[in-house]
Amino acid sequence: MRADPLSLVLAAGLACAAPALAAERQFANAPFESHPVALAQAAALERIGARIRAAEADPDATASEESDADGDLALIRASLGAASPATLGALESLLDGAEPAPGAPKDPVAAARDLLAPPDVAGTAPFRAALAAALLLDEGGVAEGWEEVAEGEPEARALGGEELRSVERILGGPGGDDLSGEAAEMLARLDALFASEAVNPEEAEGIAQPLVGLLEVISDSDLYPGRDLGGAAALVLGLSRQGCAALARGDGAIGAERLAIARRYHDALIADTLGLMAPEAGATISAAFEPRATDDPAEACDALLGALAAARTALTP
Amino acid sequence: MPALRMPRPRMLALGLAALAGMAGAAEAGAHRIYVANEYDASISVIDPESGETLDTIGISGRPGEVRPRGMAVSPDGRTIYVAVSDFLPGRQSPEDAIVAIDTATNRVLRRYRAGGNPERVAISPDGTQLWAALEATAQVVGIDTATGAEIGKFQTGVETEGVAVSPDGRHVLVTAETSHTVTMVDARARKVLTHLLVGNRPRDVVFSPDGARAYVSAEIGGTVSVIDVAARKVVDTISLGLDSRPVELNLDPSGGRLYVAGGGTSAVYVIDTARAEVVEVIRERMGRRPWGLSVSPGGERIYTANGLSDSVSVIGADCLCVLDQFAAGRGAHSVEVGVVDAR
Repeated sequence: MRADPLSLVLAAGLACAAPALAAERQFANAPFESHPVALAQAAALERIGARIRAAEADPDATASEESDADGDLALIRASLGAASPATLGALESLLDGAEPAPGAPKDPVAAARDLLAPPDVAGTAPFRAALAAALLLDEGGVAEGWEEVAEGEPEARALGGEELRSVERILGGPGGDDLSGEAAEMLARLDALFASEAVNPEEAEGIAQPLVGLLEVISDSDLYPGRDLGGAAALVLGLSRQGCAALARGDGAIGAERLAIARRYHDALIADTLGLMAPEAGATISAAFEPRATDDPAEACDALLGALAAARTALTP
Repeated sequence: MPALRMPRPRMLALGLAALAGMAGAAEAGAHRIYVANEYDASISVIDPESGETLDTIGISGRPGEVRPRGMAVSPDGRTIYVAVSDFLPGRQSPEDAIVAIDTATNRVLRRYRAGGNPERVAISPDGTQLWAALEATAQVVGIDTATGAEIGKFQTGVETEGVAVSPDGRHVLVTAETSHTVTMVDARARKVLTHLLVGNRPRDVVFSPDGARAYVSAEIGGTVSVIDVAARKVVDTISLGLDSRPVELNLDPSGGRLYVAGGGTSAVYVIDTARAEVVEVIRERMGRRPWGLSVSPGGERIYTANGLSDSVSVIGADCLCVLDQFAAGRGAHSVEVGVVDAR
């Protein structure tokens, strides 16, 4: 890692001590609660970087991933475009398989990384652990990539493998000075898995889940923003309010970006539960998140925020 | 996610009690350990005293393509039911079935069509109904054990996994991983009564011996939710710690102790149900990734199926310590333990 090592050397000791403390243990940090936008954007950028690397190695590998790339770009387009239009343009060119314009950053992913993530946050152990967790477990991540491989989509192997490289870099790399014990072993098992014949689509998640659990202990961070469903609904509501406020003040690009981030969290954390426990609110939210759901953004926002408030109530015990 | 289920010891205990005095009744204490070996497509039959593998029952000739996961024991102890599916939980296939095994001969008696990629299975206390959690279709299905006919199929939350039938046979509870819910079905009226929000990523569910309470493990939540069955409400939440990763759980015959397998932590958590708190954590000498967990009919032993070490850990209820390790088949992520009488 670049800074503030996760001190994974403590992993074995902490893991052993954990059961005795288990009943009382709560984590000191909640990175998804503290930095939901930065984490969503960092994860999107890493997936984009992995997609570019996979395409460079095999242009056919990511042919079916264009819609995913669009979805990830939507999470960073406004922020990155405001900070550095050249960097955004270079990323878009590379995703399209084209050469970046002259004068563009040589490594636009690295450049975007520095532009998007707050420097005082991006190097911290909780942030890096959360970013690794997102890349391992979120939609479009390592575990899902393996599922697709096992379900007959061999082209997903390259992308999943590149995402795993990103996780290794974020956590310091296999065999890195600050990576040891169970965490290193789990990363090595994921490496070996991606080099093996696919049998069980759940196998990568079966490794990734305990790895994230270990990272929680090591970084003293809650890495599952959906653990508290009421809190997750509040997170989506807060981000949606930001998006709607931006739309109301005429900042359409930032508004759309915030709403795209809110939608990503909604889909990952609460959509399934709302479908069962509060189906009317769930349907309203899903419809309101659809682009061009209505010609009147204010009306759509009213419906969205109202339904999200109802969702938060329904999901709070 | 890989998922496992144990035969419920309380059901076996009820079955043994009900059989007392009957010709050919099982003798308490004589039992075998059955382990579902996910990657071998087989069931290991293990002597609980010697740890010797007495038999290996093939579930399919296509290991690596077809897998056994959850199991249940008939009340008379004579039949083991195994949920069998392929490795693609999101789709249905012709392999989706509940396989019945005769414990006297260790032969497959029949296959019940289940559909929906069944992950776990439970049996009613009178042995007449099987209930299987269908992961692919987010449903629970009831099957008549005599005829194989479908009793009913009900919508649940998303990624159905754990299933249990109440001691009086009236209620069926089904967990759903990604909606974080438990669905309660009235097995007599054949309708869904309610959906309850529980901890994050609920895995397994078990009823108390009197049926008044049900306990639900939540892997990511690190909790066990306590449900008041009559009130249809979650009335308590027992914290095991956010890093506990609880999966399968089972009660001792008295209902006073709840044992919970910590799949991601290679530990077993012991809960005093009266105090609703963890009183012990067993880690020393535990196998890796204990997923399935079962209790012997008398409650003296607890067995865990260890997915990463392909073994069974034997825990003594008196010392709450690991007494032994038995070899199982190649199970990796989904081995299970069953306990039945050995006539």
